[in-house]
Amino acid sequence: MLAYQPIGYVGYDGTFTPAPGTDDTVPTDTRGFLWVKNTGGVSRTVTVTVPGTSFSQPLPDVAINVPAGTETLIGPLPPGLGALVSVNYSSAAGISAAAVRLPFAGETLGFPDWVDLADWEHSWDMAHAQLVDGRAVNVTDRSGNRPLRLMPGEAPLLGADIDIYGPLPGPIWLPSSPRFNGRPALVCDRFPTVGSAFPLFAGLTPNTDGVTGTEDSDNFFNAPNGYPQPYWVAVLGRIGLPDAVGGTDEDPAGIWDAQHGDVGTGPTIGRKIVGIGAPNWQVSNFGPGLVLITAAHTATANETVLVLCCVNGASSFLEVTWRDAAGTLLTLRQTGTLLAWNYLECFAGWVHGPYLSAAGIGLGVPDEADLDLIRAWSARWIPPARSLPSEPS
Amino acid sequence: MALLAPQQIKITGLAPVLAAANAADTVAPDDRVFLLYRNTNAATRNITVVTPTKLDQYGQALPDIVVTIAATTGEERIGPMTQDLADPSTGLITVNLSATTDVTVAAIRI
Repeated sequence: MLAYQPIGYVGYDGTFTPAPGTDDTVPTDTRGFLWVKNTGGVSRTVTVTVPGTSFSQPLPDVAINVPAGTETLIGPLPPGLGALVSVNYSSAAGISAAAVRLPFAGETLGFPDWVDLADWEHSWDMAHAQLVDGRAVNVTDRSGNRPLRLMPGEAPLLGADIDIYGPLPGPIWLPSSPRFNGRPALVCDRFPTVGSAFPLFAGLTPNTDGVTGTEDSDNFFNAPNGYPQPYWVAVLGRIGLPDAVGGTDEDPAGIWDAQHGDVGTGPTIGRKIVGIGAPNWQVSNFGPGLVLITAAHTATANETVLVLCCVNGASSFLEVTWRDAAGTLLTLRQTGTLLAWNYLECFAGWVHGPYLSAAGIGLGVPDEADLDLIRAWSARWIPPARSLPSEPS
Repeated sequence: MALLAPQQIKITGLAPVLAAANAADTVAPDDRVFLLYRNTNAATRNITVVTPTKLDQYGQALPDIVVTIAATTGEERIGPMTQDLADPSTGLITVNLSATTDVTVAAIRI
């Protein structure tokens, strides 16, 4: 098996080893590739085995011709090719090869990017926002194909109709927020409304095509019924503005939300979800039955938090990581039972005004090793608990 | 000076095409791009990736990234060409070369 050799900033001059025979393997890696040199006098064929079938037909392998005296770079080598990619050379004579990997940017600085922490289905890092007049109108989904976009279209809203406001403005982008130790973030600020029973905030959702609204099932995760359990959500965020006009941070405030209630919904993560519970961190849904898990920790606007929420029937949990005023990192996990809902849609903002720096969705039961990585990564961006002036100043 | 256009690695293979390097070349930031240099000259060369002033720390300029490429058969790969390395005024990353004779370069994207 060829082990990856990393490119970096000290230079990498390349160590090419003669092919051990006609067969070899390389670990899959979306940033990895196979570098083959043919110093022989005749052309060779490199064949990459493609596992799996489609419509009961075996997927064809990929054959690459390497003329005499040339080289070829083959990649990237994604997980779809199996844990190990099988490579065959038509002849080993004159063939040398290297498995080469280009690290992601943060990795070279000693810490990875959010996208690289877990096997996300979707991941959004506010560092990758597209801006118009200082507001985020699109945040790239670096793991999937659902960017966060403006929330347009029809959506009933607690006695008012978002149609008369929509699309909602994009949140204000903060290039370096002290709430996240200098990370980029968004703040979903409030905007003027008429006739709404609730204040409205700038917001973004991955469940829109930019034309129809969040309630269009065409735009749900796995339309029409969403992702089935188990699934999990991670959010690095902070409570922002109170939900009630003229309110204080004692009012309900969500940092990640879901609202649809016909066949299920995703978790609403925040404090004191409307009408229920104490002002603790909570995960709730507004689908078939109102259930929640409440963390035994009071949520305040003074704390930046990493919230991990797993929706998995009786094995569900809510986990909150924060720092106290002395800077000690604390983690609390509460387990509980959540009903058998699907994850239809989600959004940030709209009826809450959070600060957000990163969010992600994983399918299946989360790998605890991945959660360790997410916690360790997030710890760098969680400052000690303290009051901070609203942003932008 | 030339703006290096990245060549995309493909599962069907990429035969990279290297071009004569200039004393100063630029590349657009992309964290999936690296630079490949080859030197067939009898002397070594220095490749210098210019670090922009935005990377200054404690009021001190971060030193440029210097990689020496061996003589005659030398080749080096440097990357990723992350956004942090881009000059805010141009949006590009600048790479200088101590001498250009017999040195070729390609920007390659994975």
